[in-house]
Order: sequence, then structure tokens, then C-alpha cells
Amino acid sequence: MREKPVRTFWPWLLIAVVVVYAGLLLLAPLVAVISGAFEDGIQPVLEAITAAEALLSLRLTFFLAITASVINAILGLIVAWVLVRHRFPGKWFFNALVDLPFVVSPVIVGYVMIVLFGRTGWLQNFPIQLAFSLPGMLVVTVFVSLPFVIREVMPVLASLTREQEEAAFTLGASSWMTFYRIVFPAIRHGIIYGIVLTLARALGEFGAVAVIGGGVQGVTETATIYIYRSLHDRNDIGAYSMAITLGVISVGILVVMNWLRRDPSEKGSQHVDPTE
Amino acid sequence: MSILLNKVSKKYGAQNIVREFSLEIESGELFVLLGPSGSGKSTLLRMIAGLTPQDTGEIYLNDRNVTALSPQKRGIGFVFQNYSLFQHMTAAQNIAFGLEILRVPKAERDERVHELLGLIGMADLGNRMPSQLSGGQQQRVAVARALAQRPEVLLLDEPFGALDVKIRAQLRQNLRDIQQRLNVTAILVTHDQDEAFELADRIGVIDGGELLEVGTPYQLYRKPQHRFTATFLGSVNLLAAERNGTTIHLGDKRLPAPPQTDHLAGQSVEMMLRPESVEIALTPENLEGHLLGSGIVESIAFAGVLERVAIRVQDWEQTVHALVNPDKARELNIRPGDHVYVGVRDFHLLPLN
Amino acid sequence: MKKFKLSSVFLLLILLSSFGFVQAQEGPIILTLAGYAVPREAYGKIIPLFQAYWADQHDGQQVIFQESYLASGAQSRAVAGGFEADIVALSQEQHVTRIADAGLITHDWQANGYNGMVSTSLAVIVVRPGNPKAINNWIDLAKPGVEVITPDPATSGGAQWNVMGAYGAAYRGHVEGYEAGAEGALQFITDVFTNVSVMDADGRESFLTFERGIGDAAITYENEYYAGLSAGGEFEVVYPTSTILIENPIALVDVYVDKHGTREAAEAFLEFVYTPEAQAAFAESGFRPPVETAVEGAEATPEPAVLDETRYPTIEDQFTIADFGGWAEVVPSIFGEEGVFTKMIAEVKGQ
Repeated sequence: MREKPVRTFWPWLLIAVVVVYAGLLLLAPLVAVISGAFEDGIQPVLEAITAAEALLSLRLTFFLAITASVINAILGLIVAWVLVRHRFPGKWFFNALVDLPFVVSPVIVGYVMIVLFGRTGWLQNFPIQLAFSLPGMLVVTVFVSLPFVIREVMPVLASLTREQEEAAFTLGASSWMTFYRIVFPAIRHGIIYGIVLTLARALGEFGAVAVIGGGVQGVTETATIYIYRSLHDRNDIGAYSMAITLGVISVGILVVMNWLRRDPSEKGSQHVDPTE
Repeated sequence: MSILLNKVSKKYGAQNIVREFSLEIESGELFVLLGPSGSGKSTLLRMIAGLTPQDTGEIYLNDRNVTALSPQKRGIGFVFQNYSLFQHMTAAQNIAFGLEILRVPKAERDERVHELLGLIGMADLGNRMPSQLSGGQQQRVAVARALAQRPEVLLLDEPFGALDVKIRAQLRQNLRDIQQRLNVTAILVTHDQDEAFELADRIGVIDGGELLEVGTPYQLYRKPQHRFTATFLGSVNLLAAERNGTTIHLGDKRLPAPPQTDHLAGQSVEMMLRPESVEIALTPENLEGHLLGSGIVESIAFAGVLERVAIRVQDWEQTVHALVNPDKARELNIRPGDHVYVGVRDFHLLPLN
Repeated sequence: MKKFKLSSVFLLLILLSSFGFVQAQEGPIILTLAGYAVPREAYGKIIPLFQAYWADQHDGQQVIFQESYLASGAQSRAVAGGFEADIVALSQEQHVTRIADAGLITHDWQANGYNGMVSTSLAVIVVRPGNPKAINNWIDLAKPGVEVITPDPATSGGAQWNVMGAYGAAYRGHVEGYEAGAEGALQFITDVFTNVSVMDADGRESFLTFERGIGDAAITYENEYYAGLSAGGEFEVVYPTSTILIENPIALVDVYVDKHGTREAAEAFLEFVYTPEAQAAFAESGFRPPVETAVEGAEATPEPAVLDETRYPTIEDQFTIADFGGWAEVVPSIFGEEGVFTKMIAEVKGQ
């Protein structure tokens, strides 16, 4: 006996909420930005995006995002491994600490860095100049995007039974070989997804890099700082064009990563021999 | 001697998991380590494989002291309870993995994989991913993977534990065939007595981390040395008695002592009666074996090929279970509440402690 | 295949990042200018002029400018905190004083004949086309039903100029109905800020808010009005009969120029900004020239540009911050934690 679903207005209300929510929050700004950019045709957009300062800011943003992703992929993997596989006193504390970048405002992150590494900071004699410099911007970018790889990899790693590795050991595989051949393939989706999120986060970062970098045009000005400054300078087309560029790049990364994430083992349907 | 364990011990904190465990296993033997869960049998197996370090004791594989060696260097094959196949590799790739580690040339490797797939009856399924295989198929791939490097010793940790009863029986036979064909020494850990009986050349009974006794399935079933073995291997009736000289005193009944129990002379003992050795009759004269007493039928239950009858024996206020063949049961035509005589054809003695 | 895809992406990532960012090479002089947001346009014209001038004087040597424009207060804190700017061009004297107090400016930066100021402007009122609310002087901002926009003095140095414009006018008895003196002035700005609906973080943002159609009147700077006008904005300026002369300082940061070895170029730039061509660029962006001060022993400075009266009208009662004892006194007594404005705003906005 199957009950006939009762039609009420509730589902429609929920659908309406979704449409309005998505429409207002996602679509409306998108339309505004695109129409704003192309107000005077495509020529000003092309000019705005190929302006020397715009290109420099994009290059800096890429450098920061990609370098931070590589660093966080490697370090994140190690941290996830240690947090999942090892027991040590204060582990819960470090586990909670990983989420810190999610809850601390990036502006505060930048400011704390200046307090620490600035001219009168506690660590002012640090061998690398971090305050108002490129390395400092990289450090804050790494910091704000730190949790993604860790949080994506940890559950996959935890679900991976120790026995798979032990099976490899009994077959003569070294620890490194076991990691490379057994563990890594199993967690690579987590790593890739973590990298995508890290890239997206790093591309969009504003507050922390603005504070620590000082926003010097052509030197420490990232694409987002460029957008902010362009709005300030009444260069709306420049700001909108850069916003669209960043958006297109982000979507492009998502598409590429989705293509990478496809797993050949997921292509075929589940097929179990009926003779068993 | 293929496998030799000398006083191997393991503690977790204050708890003894395995206690001074010594064992010798012959080459080509299939040895079943049988014990309840938590008895330390899996830990012992993992220590043999080198996956869990032992606290004290030595382990020899083919006269080679492997006590300090890593699992990579012990030359063993290991089959895990949940198979632990590499999920991102096909069945064939799983089997080939160990050969790749040994840098076996590709042609030879492919040949060996093909041969093993044939051995487990999965010649056409080498390209399947583990997720596309049934539980039984995965289990066979796990066995083939463990055998790929031609290990001296094959270790299996509850290899049938996650399978249906029906598939289990089939795969047991399959495993026994493969083991004998390759003549590989194997230790199989299980808590299932049927599995142990069916597969084992010899069984070692382990409880509380200690090896209680070792013997053939028949010895352990019929003539165990320990009460634990008696009760763990099938159901059993245990009756308190005295052995005086060559006579057993059971209440006012006198029975001749069975052979090989002289060491229990003059002691309080327990008579061990397997239910299939217990007989029921309406009159004492109709019993073939020794009369134990009379009692009231408590219940009769269908138990497959036999019927299980529980009788409350009046003389010593204890319930005795008997397995009776259905023809006999029909002939007796008994019902719960009926008065019957209980006898025993064959029994064994256990020390009372 | 799968393995290939993954490793190729990693390789690509590493390759991409390796041709990432390279610091400017040695050779040319690099000057870092830390400015507040508003005069960016003016410096955008002055810097090429200076570069040409310097190249002419120094066998074609190049001067590369690294420019950063942030809110004045934030910029000041950044430089004091270690942002190694050779030159700072800020909206308010106190922001330079903070850098000097941090020990980074060691010379008397105000002894240049202009009191260290490079440009000036006026605190004015900007209204909608046709002035529909009939706002003709400060007093009209206190009328009920007038929505006023001005930045937040807590974050914006420019906002403090605006507040002092209104406060000063009332204090000096130029706002009808309010008694001259501190009490009447405080009452007046209390009434004005009751009408303030949006307080943005900095002057430019505040004026952009007004441009986007919020509010009936904006208290802003004359130069900001001209900047908005040249960007195609439609609004009218109202000059109050009494207002404050906004003075924007410029200074070189001794510690940093000496560290970078750029003192000569920085000093040359600081002189260059007073040349007629540089001042013309400021005037084009809506700024008034700095006021020459007769400092004894001060070096001869270039002539200030002549003021275009139609564009920069004379105000009946123009006063300066010095008339109130300078920022050193005004900031603590009016904008400090215990300042009258800070207490008033908490009350007005807290109710």
C-alpha cells in the first residue's frame, strides 16, 4: 500500500524560498556585475583587464593562490595524517586549532601578523621580512586556506582501514611505496577537492592580504585589492571586469577539477556475478 | 618444522592478550587456531605476520628466526577478515601488486596472475574492481593476492567471517583444495568449530591468551583434556562423578571407566557425554549402553537430521540432552512429560577443577 | 591515465608558481609612496612629471614609484608598523605625527615653509541637483527631515575635518540659533549628527554612497566634490559662510629613506610637489594650494599657484585647525575616548 502524497502549499513555499534565495543572493549580483562591466561594450572591458596594473594584480593573485595550494596540499596532508593516525597529548587542541582560520576574520589575521612581525613586533627580528611583503602575503594566504585540505583529507583517511596498508606491508611494500600506491590513490579525491577549495579561497582573499601587503599597486596589490581600489577610484568597469575574470577563473578551476575527480571505477555500474 | 612459536607473549597495559604461547606446526599443515572472540588468536596471528610486535618470545618460520623482522621480510601471505583489497585496483592488479613489489618481469607477472585467477575460478573477472565483486569473489581474490609471492606461510584471519553460511561451505572446500595443491603451510584463525573441523589437519584451542590443547578434530571432539574444549567444540552434557579404581560412581550407578583416563584415578571427575551418545528408551532393558537413570521429557525440538530431546533426570536433578534420529523418536513416540530411561553408549572423563 | 592526469596538474601548478612574482630589479631608484585614497589622481599626474624631471637632472636615471593608497589612519598605522614607505601623503597632521612619534621621522617635517602641508581644501556641503531641500548653510543640516551623509570620524581622518568644519562654524557664531562657544557648537553638531544616516569608513566611500543616491546632503571636501563632478556626477556644492581649511600633510620618512638609500630622490620629490606644475595637477583634482607660512630661516619655496576664484571662491569666515589649538588638542578633547564628540555620538546613535 502506497500512500498518495498529500499536496500542500508547503513544498511550493520551500521552492519559492530556494528560488528567491538563489536568485537574490547569487544571480542578481552576477547580472549586476556583468551588465555593469559591459555597459559600454566589450572594448572597455578588454582594455580594463589588459591594463598593466590589472595584469600585475592577477599574476600576484595566481602566484599566491597556487603557491598556497601547493604548500597546503603537502602540509595539509601531513597534518591530516598526524591527526588521524597518531595519538599525542593535546591532540584535541590541535584538531580544534585547525579550524581557527575559519572563525578568525582575515583582517585580524593580517593585523596579528603585523603585530608579530612588524617594526615593533615581538618577532621583528625574524630573518624573512613578513610584514608588508610578499612572503607575508603568502603566509596569510596559506593560513586562511589552511583547513581545506586537512578537513577534506581527514575523513577519507579515517575511513581508510589500517588493514589496507598492512596488506601492502605483508606483500613486501615499504612504507613509502604503501603510501604512494595504496593510501594516496584512496585519498586523492579528498586532496583534489581540498586544493580546489584552497585555490578558490586564496583567489578571493582580501582582508588579510590587504592588511599585511599594504596594497602597493603593482607590487602587493592582488586582484581583489585591485577591485576594491577600482571601486574607490570610480573605475567601475575595471572593478567589474576583474570580478568577472576572477569568477570565470574560479568556475574554470571547478570544471577542471571535476574532470580530474572522475574515477574510472565509478564509470561502470555495480556488477555482481549472479553465480556467487 | 615450518612454524615454531616459543613462549610468545603480548600485553596491552596490564592485560595479558597472549601468554607464553608455544606451538609447532609442520610443513604443509593447515592448522586452525580456534577460540572465542577476545581469546588473543588474532593478535597471535598478527604477531606471526609481524604486524603487531610481541613483548617476549621468539618466532621461527622455516627455521629462520623472524622475531625481529618487519612484515615485509617475513615471507608470509596474509588474508584479512574484511579482505582489505585495494579498492582502486582491479582484481588482477590486486593479485599482481606483490609481484610488482618483487620486480617480477611483466610477462611472468601476467602469467602468474592468470594462473592464480584460474586457481580461484575467476579467470574472466580479472578486470573487475573490488566494488564490482561479490563478497565471496573478493575473498578469493584476497587469497590469491596473499599467495602470489609463493609465501612459505599463509595466515588467514577469520577469512569466512563476513560471508553467508552457504558460500562459506563452498569457499572452505575451495581453500582446502588450493592449500593442498600448493602445499603451503597455513594457519587459519576462527571462532567457528564447524570451520575448524572441516578444514583443520590439527586444531589448537586458545582461550584467555593461552593454548589449552592441540589435536586432531576427532581427538578434541571426543577426548578433550579441558572442559573448555569440550564445551566450545559442540554441545555436551557434563555430569559430576567419582572415579574409583576402574569404576565410575555416578550417584548409585556404577560404570566402567573409559580407556586413557587412568591419570584421573581416584579423583572427582566430570562425565562428558556428547548428545549423540545419549540414548533414550521406555524401559531400561531396551538401552544398548549403560543406564544412567530415568527422567521426564522436557522438550523435543527439531534439529535438522536429528531431534534434540531434553530429559530432566530425577536422580540428580539435571537436564540431559540427547540427539535422537527421527525414526527412533517416532518408534518411542514420546511427548514432553513422558517418563523415559536414559543411557549412554560412549563417554569421556574430564578432571573436575 | 589517471596517474598521468594528476601528476601533470601538479607539475603545471609548480611551473605556474615558479614564474610568479619577481621583485623589481636593482638599478632604478624605487620610491614607495603611502598615500590616503583621495589624492591618488593628482599623484598619478605629478609622478610622471617628477620622473621626467629627475631623469633630466640625472642622466636619464629612472625613478619607479610604488604607490599604496589606503584610508589615512590605516596607512599611518601601517607605516608606523613597518610598511617601509619613503614618502607619506596623508589627510591629517596627526597621522604623520604618529609616524614621527614612532621614531621614523627624525627631522622637523613641518619646517618647509608650508607647515608640512602639500594641499588644502574646504569642508563643504554637497546637495542634489536643484538643491530640493534648500540647504544653503550649516544650519540647514540640522533641520528635521534632512538626511545627511558623512564618514565616521572614528576611522576616517577626513571625517574629523568635516566635524570640525561644522563645529568650528557654530563655535565662531556663524550658525544662527546656536550660541557661540563650545556648548552651542556641541549642540549644533549633535543636531546635525541626529540627521546623519550613514557613516562610512572613509571619505571616498562616504561620497560614493551619496553618489549612489542615498541622503539629501553630504558633508565632504571641496576636492571630493570636484573629483565626483569630473567623474560625471550630478550634484551641487554649497559653501557655508564659515568653514575649516583642510590641510593635507606630506613628509619623507627618514628611517626608511636612509635604509633604502633614497633620500636624495625623496627630498627632490618633496620639493617638486610645490612646483607650479605639481600644484596645477592638485588644482585640477580639486585641491587648493597650501598656505605659505612665514617661517624665519625657511628656505625659499616655489611660488604658490594663483587661485581661480570662480572655482575656488573665498569664504567669508575661513578658519583652520590651529584656531582650535591644532589637532594635538582637538583630537583628545573632541575625538578621543573621553572627547565630547565620541560621547555625543554614542548617545545619538545609541538611543
